[in-house]
Amino acid sequence: MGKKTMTSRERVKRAVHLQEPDRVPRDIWITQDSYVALRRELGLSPVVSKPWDWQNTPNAIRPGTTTWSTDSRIDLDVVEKLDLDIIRRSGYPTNGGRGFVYRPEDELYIDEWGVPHHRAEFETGYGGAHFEIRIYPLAEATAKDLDDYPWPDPHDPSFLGDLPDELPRIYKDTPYAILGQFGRGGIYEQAKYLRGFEQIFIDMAIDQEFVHALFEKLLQVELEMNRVGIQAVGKYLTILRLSPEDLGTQTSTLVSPQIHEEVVRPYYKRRFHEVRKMLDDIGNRDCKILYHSCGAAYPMMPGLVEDGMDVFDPLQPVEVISEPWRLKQDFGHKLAFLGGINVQSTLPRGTPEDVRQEVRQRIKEMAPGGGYILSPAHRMLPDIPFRNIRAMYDAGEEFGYYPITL
Amino acid sequence: MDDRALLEKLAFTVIKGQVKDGTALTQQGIDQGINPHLVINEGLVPGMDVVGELFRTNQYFIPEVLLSARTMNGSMALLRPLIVGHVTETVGVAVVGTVKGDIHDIGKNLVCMLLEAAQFKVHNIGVNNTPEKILEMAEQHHADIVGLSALLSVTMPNIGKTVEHFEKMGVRNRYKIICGGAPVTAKFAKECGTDAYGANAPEAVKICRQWIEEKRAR
Repeated sequence: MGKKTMTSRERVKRAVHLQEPDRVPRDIWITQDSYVALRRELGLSPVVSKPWDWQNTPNAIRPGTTTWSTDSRIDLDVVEKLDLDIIRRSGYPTNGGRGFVYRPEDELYIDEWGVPHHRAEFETGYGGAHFEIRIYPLAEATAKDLDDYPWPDPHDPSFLGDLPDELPRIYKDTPYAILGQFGRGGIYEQAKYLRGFEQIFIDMAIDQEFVHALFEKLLQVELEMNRVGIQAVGKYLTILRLSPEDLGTQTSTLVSPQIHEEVVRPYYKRRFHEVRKMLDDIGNRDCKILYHSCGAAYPMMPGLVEDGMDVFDPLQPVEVISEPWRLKQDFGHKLAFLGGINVQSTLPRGTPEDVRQEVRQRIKEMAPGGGYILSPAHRMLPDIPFRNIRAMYDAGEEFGYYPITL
Repeated sequence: MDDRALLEKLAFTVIKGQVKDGTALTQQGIDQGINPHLVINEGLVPGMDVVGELFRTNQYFIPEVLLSARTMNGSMALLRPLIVGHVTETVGVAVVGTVKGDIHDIGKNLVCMLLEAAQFKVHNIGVNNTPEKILEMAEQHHADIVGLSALLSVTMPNIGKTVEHFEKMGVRNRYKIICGGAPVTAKFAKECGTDAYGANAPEAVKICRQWIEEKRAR
């Protein structure tokens, strides 16, 4: 067992700057249902941070890291107890901070983009629920209609909420690194939610004019959210997370590399460049930009790295082409990684020893030279037993000290 | 254009996802008196087979497959009225749905499209289906095959619960059950008592076709 010689913030900073810290830094990503159980297991009070209680109040705020999920905001006591290094904070819903607004007539929940969701219980005895889109509001829209659509307003005072008070406090009073996210939708991802998955793919193949019009709108909203957030609190961040996007399935990319190159990449490139400039302009040149994509995204990685991605998350351990070791081998000289511990099989269904072995493997392949933050490879759902969460961080302690000699 | 050349060209429109050209060629084929069954089996289906293979080998992606499926469906809309009353071309009946607690359906819909293209009669029963509902649909539609999908690690146990329900009701051996979805693995599919795991849509279709061939051979 090694010894820590750095603060969490220094540790994370070194890792994302591709230098070896004292120990592999650690992060968490978890749903609200799972978070309730986690606090109980850790012996912490059931009182959790700020208004997140959508279960009991249908119009409650959802301060998650994405617009549509049920991610939990993590309290400081959990960060301390699990010896994590990062505190994640994100901008709030722009519709007056209400997040989902319940519509009783069809029992749907409308998000800040005007997208109606259905809430479904998992119904496997784990408890918990998730939201899925029921109606795609731009399914039949033309490029002309986009001007009249009620886009989220990043200047809504609810958007920053308490962040201007909280982030300086975290920065000053705690040793932790702050991972901030202001975008609440994204480009390609939000286009899928507004247009519909099938239709946006068809558009990309045959009606690129519409796609360009929609992506341009979404880029502008995303940039403005980042501008507002960065100008207010960007100086406290060690990592800035862009709105999450998904490029891959379990075995391949969703669209061909050619379509990605022609239709998607130009918008990503502009986003990376603009956001980098915003961070530089406020004097936070050290802040690194994190981009999220699930699935096997290998063919798009060279372009993402070239255009300005500094950290790749969630490092889903898929088994073909985009394996973590391959990404490290091919891009690790320029790119840091966050995530990597399998939430599809090992964490929910493995034994603590399986989890320990996977963490050992991931640290062995990802951590040398810095550039790796240990974290689950997506949000943890209620099927992940506490013993496996414990095993993940214990193994991080067992194997995570530098120099890595595995 | 002679019949053979037309059918080859039609297959090509399916592969390229050219909806309008596909419909026009199909109409031309009908007008020049090609047997509708021939149009399907020697034009559309071979085209879709190529599409499935291109998708399986990562040369085609979701947009291309969707366009090909639309091309096929456009042609089928013209052909279907002509084959009503004849022995249908359906190779088998599949009831396909996402299990209880789960409302993801993109992958499942893709499987349905490819099954239809492979001449299955497909009943896409949507999302969030209880074991009871799935069994009811399978019985009502006289299904040969039941396809179960789950995208979440927390809902995939409902695949097993569905199989259990079929067993409990004493009808398990009437159906072949196949499952899939991002977190599902071959090992998990076996533990759940299903007959097969489809790692991707074309593979699922291939397995279903094999089952029907085996059934016919018996």
